[in-house]
Amino acid sequence: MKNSITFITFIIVITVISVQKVSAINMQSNEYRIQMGTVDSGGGKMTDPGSYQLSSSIGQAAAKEFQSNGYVVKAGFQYIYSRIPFTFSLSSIRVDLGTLLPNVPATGTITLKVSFGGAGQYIVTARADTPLIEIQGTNSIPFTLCDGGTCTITNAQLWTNSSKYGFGYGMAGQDIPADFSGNTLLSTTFFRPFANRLASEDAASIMQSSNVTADITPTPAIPYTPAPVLTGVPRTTTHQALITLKANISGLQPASTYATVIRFLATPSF
Amino acid sequence: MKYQILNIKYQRGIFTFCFVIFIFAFCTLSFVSAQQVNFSLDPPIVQAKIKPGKAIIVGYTVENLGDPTNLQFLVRPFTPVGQLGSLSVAQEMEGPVQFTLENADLVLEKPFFFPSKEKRQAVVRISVPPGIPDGDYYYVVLAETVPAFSVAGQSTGIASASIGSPLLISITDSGITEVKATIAEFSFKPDYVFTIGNNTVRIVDNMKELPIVCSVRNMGANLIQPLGTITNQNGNFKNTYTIIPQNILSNSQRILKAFSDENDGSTNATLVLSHLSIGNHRVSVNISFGEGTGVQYKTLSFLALPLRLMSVACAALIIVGGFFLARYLRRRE
Repeated sequence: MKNSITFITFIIVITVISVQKVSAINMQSNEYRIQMGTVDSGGGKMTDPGSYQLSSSIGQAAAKEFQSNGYVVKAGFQYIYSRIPFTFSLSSIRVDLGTLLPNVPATGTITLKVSFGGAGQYIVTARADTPLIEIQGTNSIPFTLCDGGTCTITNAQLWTNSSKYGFGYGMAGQDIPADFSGNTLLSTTFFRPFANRLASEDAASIMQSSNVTADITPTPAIPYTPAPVLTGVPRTTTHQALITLKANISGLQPASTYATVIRFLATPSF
Repeated sequence: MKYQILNIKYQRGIFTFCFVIFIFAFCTLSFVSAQQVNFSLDPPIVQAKIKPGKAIIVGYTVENLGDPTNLQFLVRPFTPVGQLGSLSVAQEMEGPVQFTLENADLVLEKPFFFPSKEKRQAVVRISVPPGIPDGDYYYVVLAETVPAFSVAGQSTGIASASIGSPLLISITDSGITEVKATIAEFSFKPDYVFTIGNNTVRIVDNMKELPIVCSVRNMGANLIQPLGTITNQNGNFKNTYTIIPQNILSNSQRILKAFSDENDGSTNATLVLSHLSIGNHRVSVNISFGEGTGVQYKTLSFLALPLRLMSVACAALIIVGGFFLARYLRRRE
C-alpha cells in the first residue's frame, strides 16, 4: 500500500514538473494596441494532426477595410497558415583560433540552426566586417584565395596546401551552396573568403532553402479564389549546417592578436 | 519494537522525500552552453497596403532562447535576388518610409540588454509621408546581436547573429494596385526531341523524375500573388497541383512552387512529376493574379516511354539475335 502511494506520488510529481508552460503572445498592452492582419485571427496550428482551412483578408473585405482605414495589414504566410516563429541559432558567438603558428592551419566551428516551419523558404547570409586584423595595430591576415588562387566569395575551392595563407570559411550540412558539396561534417576542404563589409561587398548566401515547409495537399478542383482550401501537416522544419573558420599564416606574419566580426543574417523569404 | 517500526517509517519518509526532491531538481535542470545565440522573431513576414499620409503600428516579438545578449532592432531596405526568393539587404537605411519604435524603453539601432528566456515586443510605427508616389517599398525588420569583443590574447572570429522579417509595403492612394505579369517560362528538359514535319515530339523516360519549371515575371509596380493550378493529363487520368500563392515582388521574376506530395523540395523546380504513366502527357498551367485579372494559360506535351526497359529489351534482342545469327552462320559453314 505504502509503495503504491509512494509510486503514485512520484508519478504525480514527475507529471506536474514535466508539463511545459504554454502561453499565448499578448498583442495588446495598456500602452499600445498592436494592429495585426486578419490572417492571424484564425489560430490554426501546423502541428494539429487534423486538417485546417486557410483564411484570407484580401478581396472585397480588404478593399472596404482599406477605404475606411487607409491601410490593410497582413502578417504571416497565408498559405502556411501558421504562427510558428522563425528561429535562428548559433552554437557559439566566438571562434577561438588559438595561437596561430606559421604553416599550421587553425580552425574553429559554429553550428548554425534554422527553424522555419512558419516561413517556408529562408536564406542565411554571412559577411565579415574586415579581414582578421590586429586588435592594436594595422596588420591583417587577408582573405584566402585557396590553393589555386581562384576561390571567391561565391565560389569555394580546395584549400589544403599549408603554404597558402589567409582566412576563410567552409560549410557542411543542410541547405549549403553547391560549391561546398565536397565538404562533409567530418572533413572541410573547400573554402571561400568572406564577403568584406569594409569593401561594400554583398553578403554571401551560406544556407538557403527554396522548399516550402508545409506538406500540404489541396482538395480537388481548386477554383480561382484568393483562398484555396488546403489540408496537411508540416514538413521537418529545422535544418542545420556547420561553418568552419580557417586561418593560416606565413612566417612573416607579425606576432599579434587578430580578430574580426562575422555577421550572420537569417531571414525568411518573401 | 514499536520504536523500530516508527524509525523504519521515518527513514522511508525521508528517503521518499529526498528521492522526490532529487527527481524534481533533475527534471527542472536546463542545459546551458556558454555564449550561445538562439532567438526567434514573429511574425515572419508582414504585408501592408497603406495610403500616403497614414501610419500603422506593427508588433514584432523577439524571444531569446539562448544566453543573455545585447540586441538592437534595425530596419533596412532589401531587393529581391534571383528567381528563388533570395534577397539582398542594404547596409544603410534609405527610402521614403519612416520607422520608429513606440516602446518607451526601446529605440531603433540602440542596443538593449536581453536576458535569456525572455520575450520583447518591438512596436514599430510605420509612417508614410504625404505625397509619396504610388509603388512598392520593401524592408526587413532586423533583430541583431551586438558583437562583444573579449579576445583574451587569441586570434578570434566574433559572430553577430541577425534575424529578419520582410516587410512589404504597397503605397497606393486609391487602393488599387498594378497587376502586370506574364508567364516567363514554362518548360521541362526532355530526354530526346524529334521533329517530324511541323511537329516536335519530346520523349522522357517514365521511370525518371521530371522537373517542371514555371516562372512568372512581374512587370508592374506592385507585388502580385499567383493563384492557379498545374494539371498533368494522361488519357483519362488527370492530376492537379495547386500553385502556392507566394509574393512576386515588383519588377522581378520568381520560379513558382506547387503543392505536391512528390515534391521533396530538393530541386529548384516548380513541380516534380514522377511515376509517369506510359503515353502522351499534356501539362498545362492556369494562373490568375487576383480578382478580375484574367487567366494566363500555357501548355506542354511529351511522350513518356519506358526508355530503360526498351534499352534493356533491345540489348537482350541484339544478344539473342546475335546468338541465333552466329548459330545460323555456323550451320551454313
